[in-house]
Amino acid sequence: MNIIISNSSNKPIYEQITNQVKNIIISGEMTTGDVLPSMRLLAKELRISVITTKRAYEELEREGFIETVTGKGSFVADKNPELLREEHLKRIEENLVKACDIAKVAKISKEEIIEMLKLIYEV
Amino acid sequence: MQNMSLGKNSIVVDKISKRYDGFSLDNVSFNLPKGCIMGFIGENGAGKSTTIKIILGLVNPETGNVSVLGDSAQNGDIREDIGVVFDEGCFPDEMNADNLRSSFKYIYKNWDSNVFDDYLKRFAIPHKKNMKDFSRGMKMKLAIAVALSHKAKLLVLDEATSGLDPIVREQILDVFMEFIQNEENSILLSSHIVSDLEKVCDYITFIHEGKILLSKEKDLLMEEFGLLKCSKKELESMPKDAIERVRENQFGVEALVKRNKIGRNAIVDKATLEDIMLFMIRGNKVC
Amino acid sequence: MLGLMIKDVYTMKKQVKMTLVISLFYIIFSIADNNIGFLSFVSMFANLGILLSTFSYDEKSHWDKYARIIPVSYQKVVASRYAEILFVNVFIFIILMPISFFVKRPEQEILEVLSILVAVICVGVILLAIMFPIIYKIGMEKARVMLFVIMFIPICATVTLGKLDLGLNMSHFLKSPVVNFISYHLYIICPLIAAAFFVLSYKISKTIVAKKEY
Repeated sequence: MNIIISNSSNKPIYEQITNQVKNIIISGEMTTGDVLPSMRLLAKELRISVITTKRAYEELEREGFIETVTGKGSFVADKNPELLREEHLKRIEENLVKACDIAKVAKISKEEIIEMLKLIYEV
Repeated sequence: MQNMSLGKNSIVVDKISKRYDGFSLDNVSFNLPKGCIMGFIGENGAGKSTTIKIILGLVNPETGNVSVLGDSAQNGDIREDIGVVFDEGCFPDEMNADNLRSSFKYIYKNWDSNVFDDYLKRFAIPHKKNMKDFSRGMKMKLAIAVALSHKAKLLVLDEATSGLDPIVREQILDVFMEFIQNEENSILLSSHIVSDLEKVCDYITFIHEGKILLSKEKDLLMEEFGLLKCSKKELESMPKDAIERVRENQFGVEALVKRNKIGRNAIVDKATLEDIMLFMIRGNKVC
Repeated sequence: MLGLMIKDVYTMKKQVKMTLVISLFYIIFSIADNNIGFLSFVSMFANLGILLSTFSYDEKSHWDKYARIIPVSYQKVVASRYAEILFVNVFIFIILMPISFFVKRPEQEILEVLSILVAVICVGVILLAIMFPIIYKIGMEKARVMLFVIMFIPICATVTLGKLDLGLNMSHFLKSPVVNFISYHLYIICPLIAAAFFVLSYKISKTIVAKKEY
């Protein structure tokens, strides 16, 4: 499992971890029941605070991606297809918001965007 | 016995004050939760060493209480669980590492000579060379080896990494991170080399002229603040409660700002811990 | 406490070697001169050289600060120094006793020689008992000068004591029963006085160290 942290990114570190772990789970690199590295080990290896990794794992647990059993560790939770779909939708929405922001600034119309979307989707 | 919370904190500092000629600690309070590393930062003379001495029982505060591992450091049993490293090597120069091992075997109940020898090997410290001939880095590493060889639960280091080269400092920080793998262990690390602390610390406590300016989770601190560079005029249009400190130069201003209050339009850069410290000390508040 | 004493032994190894060598010279002088006075120098030198130096080494390396954070109580830390006084002096006594008998002049009684040796060692102990609290209070650096002065007078007195043909003087005093009693029982009285100084000094030192801040 590879986790790469960027110190210069404006995104908080715990968010970077959360996103990367989500990707790993969504992509299937890790499946239900697989053990994640302990929060402390992850913190040590990445040279970051254990509170950061704890926060990342808590967030992942809150969103249903992992389960933490005290004394045993953290495991990939049952892959709930609803959950994944929602996650994907969320990502798409984020990106669409970005696209719309740019469009508004550049005074490009809604219709032009929809056209572009249709073309892209066909590919 | 004071009613201090036994479970969660390794160190509880509660409103301590101490006055000296020309310097005083004023109402200093902070907690170090178990399983965490706390970086204690401040410029030279800010009060870090004095606070640490009070925590360790070397100095008595005029007011306030300190609790260490649920009790006081004045209690000999508690000191079994505390490992201390001061910035000056505290062992007689005429001794060597083997001598230290022989002496400490009878000083600490939980002394483990094998663990000590492992650290000597790892740090490449010769067994029979007199400490007189050690470099500062080696003296520090030896002191750390001693502090880690008696099953301590709390490490207190007062400027232990100052004056060491980056290679040695990283070696030492690695050892700390291993120590903290055990959730019962904690580290209080004071330093004015802020970049070291930025990497490994969970909490940051910032002391300035004897007062605590802040004590919080490092992540929250780093997320809270950012650097804004702009013209003086542009700064005036920013919300006043977002601006923490300002530094002017001939060609513009730099401001330490609160990210959540500055609004979306401003381009805010990441502030390092050192930036935060410099701005807090040398920057000006906006009236 | 044992750990602290072991540490002192390692710290002082060079010093001890030097002291032994120089002591050897003094002992040879004593034997050559058949004079017990020089033996007193041995005792004084060994005592002061080694035991006082432990303080300078500790101060120089800031060990006294470190000693506060180890699990040994400050009472034991102080006690270890006093225990060292006992060890060193018992050792000196064991070494010097046979030498005294060897060195003594034939007209001197065994008891007399014993008394002189014991008296001299006890003076050493009393001096240390006076010095220790001073050092604890103001530190070795500042105490050094003061101690030199305090030492100088009794050393001269002791050497003179040894050099005086005590045999003759004693017979002169023998006429007074009190002095007679004292001088015959010097080997008991001196240690008692020294013990009193020793215990008092230990109590004072403990009080001083209890209040000390680092």
